[in-house]
Amino acid sequence: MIPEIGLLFLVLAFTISSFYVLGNSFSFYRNNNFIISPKIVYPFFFSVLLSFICLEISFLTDDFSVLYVANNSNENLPDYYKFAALWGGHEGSMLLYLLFISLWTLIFFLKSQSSFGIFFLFVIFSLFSGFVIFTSNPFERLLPFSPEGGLDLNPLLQDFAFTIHPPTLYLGYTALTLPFAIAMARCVDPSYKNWASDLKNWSVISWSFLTLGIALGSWWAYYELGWGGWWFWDPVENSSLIPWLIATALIHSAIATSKRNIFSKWTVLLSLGAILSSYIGLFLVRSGIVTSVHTFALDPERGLILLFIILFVLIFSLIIYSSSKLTDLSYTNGSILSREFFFLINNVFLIILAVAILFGTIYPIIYEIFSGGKDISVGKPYFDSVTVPIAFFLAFFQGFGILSNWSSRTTETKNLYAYFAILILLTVSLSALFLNNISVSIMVTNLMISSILAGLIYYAFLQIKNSRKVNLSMGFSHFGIAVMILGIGLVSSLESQKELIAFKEKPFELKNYKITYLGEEKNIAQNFSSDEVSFSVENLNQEFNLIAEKRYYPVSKSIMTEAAIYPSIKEDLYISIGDQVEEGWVVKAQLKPFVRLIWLGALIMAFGGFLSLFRFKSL
Amino acid sequence: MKQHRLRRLYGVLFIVFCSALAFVLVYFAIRDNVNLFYSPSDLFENPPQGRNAIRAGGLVEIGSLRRSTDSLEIEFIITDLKKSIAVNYTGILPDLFKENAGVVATGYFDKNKMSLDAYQILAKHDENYVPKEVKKALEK
Repeated sequence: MIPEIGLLFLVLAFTISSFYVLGNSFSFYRNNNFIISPKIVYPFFFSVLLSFICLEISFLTDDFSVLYVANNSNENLPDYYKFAALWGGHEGSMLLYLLFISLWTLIFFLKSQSSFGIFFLFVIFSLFSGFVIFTSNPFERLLPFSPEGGLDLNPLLQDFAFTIHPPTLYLGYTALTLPFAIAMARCVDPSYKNWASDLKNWSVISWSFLTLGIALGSWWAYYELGWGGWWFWDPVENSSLIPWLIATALIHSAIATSKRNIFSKWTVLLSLGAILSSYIGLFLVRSGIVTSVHTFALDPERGLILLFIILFVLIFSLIIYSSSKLTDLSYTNGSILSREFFFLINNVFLIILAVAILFGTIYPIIYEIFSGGKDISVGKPYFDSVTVPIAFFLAFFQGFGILSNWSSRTTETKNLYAYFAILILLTVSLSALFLNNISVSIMVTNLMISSILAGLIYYAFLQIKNSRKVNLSMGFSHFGIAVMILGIGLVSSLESQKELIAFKEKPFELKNYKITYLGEEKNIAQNFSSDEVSFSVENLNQEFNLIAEKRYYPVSKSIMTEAAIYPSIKEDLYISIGDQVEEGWVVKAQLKPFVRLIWLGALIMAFGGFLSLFRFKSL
Repeated sequence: MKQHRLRRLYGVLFIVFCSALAFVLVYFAIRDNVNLFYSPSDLFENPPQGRNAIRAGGLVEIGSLRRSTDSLEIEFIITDLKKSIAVNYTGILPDLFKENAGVVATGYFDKNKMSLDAYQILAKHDENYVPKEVKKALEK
């Protein structure tokens, strides 16, 4: 009964949103006003919420007559994983996606009450809820022959990070709908005065969640996949990075629009680009068209409908955009050292970076079509060699961009000299810190973060000297980028590893660490059994034991390795195990210097983003 | 007004210049980093030209896995049920690696020995233990 109620509420939400869209389109066409009140958002939100709760109940009560529950859960699964298993597959994660769109719609209604904004949010919701109901119904039953037990949640997903990473990322993705809706609302309603600052604030919210979500995913992949890598350029990772880059560009463009009344057409187009890029990601992942570690069942029909949704949103939005009367002041009044010009540089480089990554991600599809079915893959070296130079310029121009002024107030050339003096001083002293293992990549890293830090330091100095407010939100976000770049640069240039067969009483060395394999112990948990392989580690000043695991999950008949990690800010010791060979184990031991700075940087960036909410007048 | 036009021109030139640079960068990077997929039969009929790494995929032949006792060197045979080739690899095999299950190896192909020196072994697959490319190769 409960699954049917869930479906009913989902259909109800679909009906409410389409009713609002169609009814108001009609009345707007006839009488130039909306007849249906946006208050309809309340019943709308609660129906989506109830639908979500119904699916959760099916999971928590092990109702395996529901196909989706049977495929993604099992009675022996711990309860918190049963709860999270809802977003373990395609159908359920789409329901979570819908829940978040409706949540943002409710919050948007409470804060700004723009009935046009609600209109466009409902357009998006109608499209995606229709998609879920007609192609991916999570409440589908297996009757009358329902299975006794479930197929279990994919063991890779049975991890703490799985309970928070997808929801955080989805909050970010779905929040991108808001800037889009605001931009469209501005196109049809020229009296919407604060649109650019509203749009900026919502983009910051989306950007902060995306930052957190992507970083959580990276951290998870690092410790769970057992290779010690933190970014694989997998199509799924790229599908989250591309919207993030566009959202970053959008924030800057929207700031310029709200402060200087420039770039407003570009801001509207970027907000369209941001959601379209997130839908393209959805398409790539859900249609099974590219091979990826995140496997959703392959289904060309879903892919086609998603493509249709993408095309529809694109054409629909461009029609609305082209009928709008947006005017821009010219950005070219000021000097080449003005903030306007640096925002232009920021946007150009970010968009080029996003397009280059998108190109590498979809190139296998293009190639397959034009070569008559030949499969290729684009390797990590492509992405590394394309992104690093572009990221270098982004970082290099960032510092001066931070302390530049809008063209209404001149930026003095003497500031430029002072900035370069700090920049050189920082680069030299940072390089001195790493003198023992200096290399080109470390020098490049130093120059990148020095550019950012020099800008931040001198900016803070100038603001305080002239008794103006320091923008802490901006400061933290940019500082977070510097921390992240430092982490990426250092771990890529200083990491070391050793692969060997480890035997008892035959210790091996990795840099300063002496590692000994001690033995293994069988262990049985609620839904898996494992071999716990222990190692003793000796360092210059400490001694500790580490345990790596080989887990066997009987329901899905799969094996999972849990790496042994000794984390610290300075470096991680990372031991993963392969097969058992005679008396020993195949072992890969790695040192990951400063790898934690990557995620720490992301945390600081997101913190900066959330900080800006406190100056959020309309929220 | 003239000044204004000139500045706009600079802006446009800047965008064109950056895009052109990026285009060149992408062109060279993609040229050197595309890994073509081959089934064992493809490797016999039409062995790869050029210096790029390739990906070869098939089923791991039952009983073909050989492991050195004192190092991490591994050898196994992959087959598409018509032809088979040897794969050499040094390192840890992924958890999903199994005999008679699908695998994709990335590395450099040696035409004389008909073997692949792999630097990466992937055993990502769907629930039927067959990666997308391997499935296609088996169905040919």
